[in-house]
Amino acid sequence: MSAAMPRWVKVFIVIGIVLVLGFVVTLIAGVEHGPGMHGPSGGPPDHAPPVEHGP
Amino acid sequence: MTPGLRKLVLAVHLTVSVGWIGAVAAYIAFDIVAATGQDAEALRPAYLAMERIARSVIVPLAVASLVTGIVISLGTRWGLFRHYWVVISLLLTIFVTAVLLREVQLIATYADIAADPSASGDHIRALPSTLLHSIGGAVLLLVILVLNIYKPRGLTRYGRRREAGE
Repeated sequence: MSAAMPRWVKVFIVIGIVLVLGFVVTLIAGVEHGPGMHGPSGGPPDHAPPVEHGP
Repeated sequence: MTPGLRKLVLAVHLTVSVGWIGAVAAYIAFDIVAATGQDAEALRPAYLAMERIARSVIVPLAVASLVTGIVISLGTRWGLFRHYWVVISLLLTIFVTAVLLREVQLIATYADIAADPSASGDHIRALPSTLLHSIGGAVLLLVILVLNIYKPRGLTRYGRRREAGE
């Protein structure tokens, strides 16, 4: 059996490095990573109950 | 490990691993509602269901899959560090589980807000979804599934040493 690393493992490693580099670039670029980046508000809102206004 | 015990652990491992993928699929259904829905009264139960599925189903299945995967690897000729497909499956499973455990805390926060009757519709609609992570996790789980079915060839350096010594 060949002692060389199989090609499919090299492909996995390259994909992993690309994903990690992409993650690092987003960090350096200051883009917040996490669920907060998916929503329109940029994160969960501060939860304050609505103020009731009397009649 | 005796053949009977090995089959039992393998059966449990397959059950919890496939169940994990199924539970993530159910989670994604509610996550799509959270990502696209505009009706606060539909969003509230979606976040509550996401939290319940993640905490009560996905996390136990993920931990069980990781533990039984390690046990079955150590108890068979595959080993834990002999074959590249086992090592990569293990690393991906640890990564997905770690992200999941972090994500559950966030989902619990969103569910608390969604469950609060005093939270306004705008508050509920402003809650983010976790769709990118849930779909990414599902893709990784399918990659692990394919690796475990096809078992692509390739011994690690440690595996080659062990094979030469046996």
